Amino acid sequence: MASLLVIVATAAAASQPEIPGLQAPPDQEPISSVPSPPPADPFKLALGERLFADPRLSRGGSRACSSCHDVGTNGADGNRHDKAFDGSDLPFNTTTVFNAALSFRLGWEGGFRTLEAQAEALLENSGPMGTTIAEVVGKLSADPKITRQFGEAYGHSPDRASLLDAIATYERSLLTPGSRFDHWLDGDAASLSIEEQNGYQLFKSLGCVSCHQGVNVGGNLFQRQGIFHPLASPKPEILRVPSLRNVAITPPYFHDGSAPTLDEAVRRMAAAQLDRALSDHQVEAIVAFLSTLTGTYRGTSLVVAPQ
Amino acid sequence: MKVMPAAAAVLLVLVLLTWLSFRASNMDAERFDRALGALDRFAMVESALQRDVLSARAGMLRNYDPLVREVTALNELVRRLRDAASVDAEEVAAVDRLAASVNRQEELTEQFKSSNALLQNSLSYFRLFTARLSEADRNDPLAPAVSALATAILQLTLDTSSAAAREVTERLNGLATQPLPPTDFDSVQALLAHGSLLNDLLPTTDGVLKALLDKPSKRRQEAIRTMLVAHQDVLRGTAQRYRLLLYATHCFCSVFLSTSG
Repeated sequence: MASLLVIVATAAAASQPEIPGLQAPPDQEPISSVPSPPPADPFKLALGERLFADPRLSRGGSRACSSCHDVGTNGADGNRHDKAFDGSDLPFNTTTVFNAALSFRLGWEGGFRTLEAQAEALLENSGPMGTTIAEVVGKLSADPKITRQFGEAYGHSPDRASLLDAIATYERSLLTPGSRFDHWLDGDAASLSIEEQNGYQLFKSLGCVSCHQGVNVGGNLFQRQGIFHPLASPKPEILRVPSLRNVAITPPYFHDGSAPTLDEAVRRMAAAQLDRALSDHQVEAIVAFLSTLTGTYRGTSLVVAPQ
Repeated sequence: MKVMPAAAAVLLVLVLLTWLSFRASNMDAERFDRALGALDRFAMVESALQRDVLSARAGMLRNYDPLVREVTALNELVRRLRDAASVDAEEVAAVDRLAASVNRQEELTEQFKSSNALLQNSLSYFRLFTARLSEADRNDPLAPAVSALATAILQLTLDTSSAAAREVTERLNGLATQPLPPTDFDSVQALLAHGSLLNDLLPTTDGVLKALLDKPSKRRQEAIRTMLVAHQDVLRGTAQRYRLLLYATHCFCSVFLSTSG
């Protein structure tokens, strides 16, 4: 019975808290603010940005990195699955490129440790880009303008290492600081409404924050999906926990893109991973909080990509 | 005609002095200092990783970014050690063994993060549903079964032996066979689901923690340090001998020049 009392005494910690009014964040929140992009050589950065939008990085020059990762909107696109060159669906939903540099592994399965390794694999994969680095380097070397740009940035003509480094340098710059939630973390108590703060408290008390924490609100561990109930397509069983930064403007959701709205994604996650059936009010509050995670790029707030 | 032999002798002496100076300077000292510095840093980062893993298990650290940074730092320090040890096969082999330890620690840290995230949630939910089913004004036949399960789970948080896990399994089965009033059905099902998960996660997570805290790399760090210090001593001794030779050569030249007019 004594043990029961011990357990009961701490039960309040897991129940939904009441929030009397606007509160400044406590010192040790499990989420931290997105930093400013790291300093980078402006020549490499400009070259990387140009390469990111260059269709010569794909088979037949039909698509660029930016075709699926639109940095003018949300860093991804609105499709459930993008298409491979043979017209089939790519296996996973395209994730946003924004803040990818803050994740400890890249891709839904977390198979890449660096942006360079991921860029190399995507360029040479027959699905997304369907080319080879050697072919890309050959095409770029035949262009005097971009060869000059490589010379300015790296002191030599295009090669494998400088191509991948330029793309990765640009991707590292694609951070989105300045979300309302980050302002709140930094001490601006008025940045969040009471409903949004309630949503954040609920996000923590329900246990969403156990996986979605850190600077990227996720992206720093692997987790099994479908702990209590099926979540989405059962394979792969283990996924890198996705970042929730900018989640409100990056539908559809899950690795198979099967949740078209954030409300549905929140409801399904609670059931599958926490064994909880959320009320409409709880879903609304959590979605309100998640909407405060939308950051800015080059001073402009990110927006949903058109479908 | 006398100029040529004298110039050749001066040139020979200059070459000899330069060579002796070069050998006396212990050019590898910096490499060893870098390697020993990396090893010291490695020990600090490994301790920080263990501290943070324990803090996370206790629920005091609720952000896995520090763990990610520490594992990244360990890999980076192994890379630096590899660079510093790249000229000696024995050192390379020792660094390879240390790298294998880091890979193992990384694997265990990943397992820990994944299981601890679920563990913290299930502990919270178990407390919540136990409280709900044990409210003071309740007086139903479920209470003893819920209490027995809570006691068994509490014991499992202190002792993750197979006997304690078996006790939890029996209590879970006991509660599952109770007739459930419709009002409590959802709470009991949730309690059983999280209790069952805890029965798996508590021993698993403790096992991972024990493996992480075993400091498997400490012996390997010491082996590298001993090797580095021994090599450094040999090189220092060699440099010392060349400094003495350099000094003797200087003395000889001074005496020769003063006596030859």
